[in-house]
Amino acid sequence: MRRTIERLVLFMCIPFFLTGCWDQRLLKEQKLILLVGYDVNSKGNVVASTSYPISKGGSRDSNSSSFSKSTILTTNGETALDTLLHADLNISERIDISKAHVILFGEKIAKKGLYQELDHIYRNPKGALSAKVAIIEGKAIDAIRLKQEEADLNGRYYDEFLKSGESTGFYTDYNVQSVFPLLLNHTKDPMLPLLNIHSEKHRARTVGMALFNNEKMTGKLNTTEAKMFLLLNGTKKRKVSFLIKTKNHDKKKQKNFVIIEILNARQKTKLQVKNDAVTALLSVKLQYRITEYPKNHITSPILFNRLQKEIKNRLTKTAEKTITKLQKANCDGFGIEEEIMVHHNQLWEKKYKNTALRDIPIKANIQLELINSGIIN
Amino acid sequence: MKNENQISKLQMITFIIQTQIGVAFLSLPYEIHKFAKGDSWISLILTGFFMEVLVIFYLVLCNRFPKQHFFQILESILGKVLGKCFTFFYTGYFLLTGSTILVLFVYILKRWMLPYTPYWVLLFLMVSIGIYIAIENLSIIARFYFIASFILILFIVIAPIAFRDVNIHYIMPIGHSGVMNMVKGATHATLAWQGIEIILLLSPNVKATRKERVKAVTFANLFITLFYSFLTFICLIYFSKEEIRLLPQPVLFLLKSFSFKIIERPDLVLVSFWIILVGTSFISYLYSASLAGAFLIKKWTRKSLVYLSAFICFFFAIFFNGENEIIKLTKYTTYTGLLFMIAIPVFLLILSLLFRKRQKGEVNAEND
Repeated sequence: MRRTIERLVLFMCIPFFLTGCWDQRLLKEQKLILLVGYDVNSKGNVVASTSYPISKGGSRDSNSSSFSKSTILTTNGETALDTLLHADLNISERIDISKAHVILFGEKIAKKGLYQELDHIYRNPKGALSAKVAIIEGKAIDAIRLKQEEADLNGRYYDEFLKSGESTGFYTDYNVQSVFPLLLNHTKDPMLPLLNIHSEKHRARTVGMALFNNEKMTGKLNTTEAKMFLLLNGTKKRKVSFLIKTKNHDKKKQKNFVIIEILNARQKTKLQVKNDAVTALLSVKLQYRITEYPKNHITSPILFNRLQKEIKNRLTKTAEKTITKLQKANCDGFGIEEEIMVHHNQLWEKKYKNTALRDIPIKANIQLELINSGIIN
Repeated sequence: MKNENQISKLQMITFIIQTQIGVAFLSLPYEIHKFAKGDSWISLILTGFFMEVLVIFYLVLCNRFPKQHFFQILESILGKVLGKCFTFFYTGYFLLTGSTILVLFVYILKRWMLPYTPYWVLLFLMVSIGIYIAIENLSIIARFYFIASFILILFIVIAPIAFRDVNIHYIMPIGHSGVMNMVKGATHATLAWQGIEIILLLSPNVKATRKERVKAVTFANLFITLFYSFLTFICLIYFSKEEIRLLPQPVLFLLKSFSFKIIERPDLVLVSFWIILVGTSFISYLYSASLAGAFLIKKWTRKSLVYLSAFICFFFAIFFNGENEIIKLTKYTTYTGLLFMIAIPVFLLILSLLFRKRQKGEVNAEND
């Protein structure tokens, strides 16, 4: 009997040592924020717009997930976390950003720098490191207010939107973690997806990529240039399509164009050093197929050669344009300074430390190889 | 009684590995990166080589006294009074290291997982686990360590997921930081090997021939070296130079940045497993301290001394928990570690070689 009582007392004491009592986070007491957008207002304060799901009509209905709706809350604050603390004042439950899918930035705040908005996520042990990051042309709040029809929650919509954009080759796959070294590292710069919002059409649209110099946004690429960048950089290897205008000005407009799809790309970055001056040579071998060519059938080798030449010319021009834009924005997305640091370390220490990209001449060399022209010639 | 304290060579391997892998390895890449930058992994391999030499010294020392454990060796070499003195110092060292493990463990756990849980609760839980296992005899502890070793496989399997997202340029150009910095990094890495001195205590209890012993110890050391350099290497190519400076526990941060369909935060799962690894190191030090204590005070049983040493560790840890104190404490532990782990055993070996001291009676007890 005494033993039983002893054990009983012991067992009753044990629960006091369970750590769950201090550090528990119950779902019913938390609002999970899936989507955050940061803007800056005219006073220079940070404006955070958050979107979180609310369940309507209670949990009786087991199929209620399809009816779940999200609400939007906008708050001001001095810093990114301060805005969220302010948001907490307006919400019936505690705010929790650790499950965020996507973090959006307005163009204006991106120009001021990204790191200060992301800092609290890196510091937090629960921080959402796998959240995706994107830049919105205009204001992020429009993106969050968007009434799209494709997914039930806005957070999920942007998550899927960015995922599909990555697989189609419009932009690189950066999340909060993988952009971290680039915001700090001075030898390579990040490039993030750039979206546009059509509020009337209830849609977001891919515009291209935002160019950064360290952590500040300095320029933009359109989608063609973004695709070209990904090929030149070697991040994207297949499933990228290009619309190319052939020279002949046919009256029927469609006949001026050909569409090719890249099936395989082999990329190489070479540095040529002459008299302590580096020239970067980005060469890429593309294997492609023709997916649309309304004008002609490729029956003779002469025709084909002419076409291929044209395609090569156009692509090279796009590549050059892309590089000029990057240089103008001083955005070292290729990591050329890093290449110099790795392969010509002494030269880097002497001359190229923190150099501007426009001081390094970059040449692009594109080689093409046709695999097929679809199932017809 | 004798049988219960015998362990096999496989158990010896896991015992050594488990004692060494504890708190330090989570922050190892960060600590060494301070000195050796992108060449930290080379530093670790250097330390591994150095430790291999040390381990051979240990075995040579132990082979001269095959039936005696370390504290008896101290007495036979240095004489009764001085030997007892050194045993006492060793007890203090084991307790200090045990407390440091506790302090760092709670510090990291509070930082990563349980920010609101009171300090003493976590401490209490760890200490009670430590007592629970450390009062058992050696073979039971060894069996537990063997089972716990499967956790290491988990770390080895999960860490390479980082290869999706690495940049090999971060460690290039190889050898850039210079030999001096690499050696500096290597000396600072010795803390991660702390616990290797357990060989001296285990040696008389292992059922193995000399050759098997050398093999077992070398294997354990090789495993540790590769494990450390592998994790460090991954961290180095995953995080950039500027980034790793900001991450005191890069291994955990690495795990935190992964996310799977079912487990979104693998770092939390792995922290839970890591607690076991810390536990085993702590248990080893409790065991060693109580063993030393039992040799000093013959009247007390080892069991009661486990309680006493656990209490001392708990008490010590509860007062040293500020950020500055932790830095100081780890510094002291590293230096005393160098003294007790390397200096004294090597000194003993030299003395025993100089004065031709061997175990009395059974001089030819090589083939036991």
